Amino acid sequence: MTDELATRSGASLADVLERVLDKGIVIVGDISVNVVDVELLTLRVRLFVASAQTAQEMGMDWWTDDPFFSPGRRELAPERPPQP
Amino acid sequence: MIPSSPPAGASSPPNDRPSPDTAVYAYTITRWSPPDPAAPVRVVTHRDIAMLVADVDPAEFTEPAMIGLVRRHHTVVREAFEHGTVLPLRFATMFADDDAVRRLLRECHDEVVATLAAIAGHREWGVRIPRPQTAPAAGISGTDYLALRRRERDGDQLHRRLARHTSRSTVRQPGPGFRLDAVYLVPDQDEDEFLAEVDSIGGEVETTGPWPPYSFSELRTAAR
Repeated sequence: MTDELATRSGASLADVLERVLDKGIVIVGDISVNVVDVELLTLRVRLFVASAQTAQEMGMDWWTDDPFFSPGRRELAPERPPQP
Repeated sequence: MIPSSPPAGASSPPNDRPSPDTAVYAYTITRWSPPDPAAPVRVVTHRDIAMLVADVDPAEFTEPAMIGLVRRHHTVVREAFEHGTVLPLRFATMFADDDAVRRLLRECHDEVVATLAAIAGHREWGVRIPRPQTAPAAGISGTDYLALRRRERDGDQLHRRLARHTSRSTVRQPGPGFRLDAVYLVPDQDEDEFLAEVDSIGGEVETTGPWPPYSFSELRTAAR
């Protein structure tokens, strides 16, 4: 099962960005500080991704060899304890 | 006579240059049990919960650095997820200082504890099933057309099959290219059954994971 898990890692750069940029807890109000124009920032990331996707279609998928972009490669709890 | 300038190596940076603006970048909420993270990531705790943070210079959030910053965010969250349950924050969430982080943890404490308990022992999986290549409308028989339409509709049915093995799920509005585009929060003990169900679909299925529960991390008390 561990081996199989390790092979299910067809995540693309877009999969990672979608989670990091679009998901997760949003803090509203004055507790967090808006020192960065995040919306502008993520817009720029999206533009980059759009060009990166184009690059992928052209066969320049330069990030696929990057272990970072294979979340499934993580060896989390390879031996799960038997359920009681 | 007062010396006109302090000797080199004096304690604090001399006079009028403002210290660079720094902010406390927050990666993820977790239980207060992480092993010491690798610098520069550090832990701010409140009671039994904690935030993984790092001091950053907001000026570094520039376009050329973006992918590296996203990568760093994901790496920190993923490593924390290897040690326990995480509630990741949206990219580029920053606080003025540690006190502000602690204030958030204090105000959201009860919901954080309940949410951490609810998603403990789960991992997130993404499943996408591409739509079959559509044949040109001309030259397709009535039977083939009906079969095509049926395959397009069965995304709902496939979702119900998969969702039986999960605690929560989110179906995205399928784009033009997909019969099903969904994210599942799968209990560890049901993961084998879930993945077997995915395999039983047959055909072309894109599975990604396991992910930290990015798609299921929400805090109502932080959003008001």
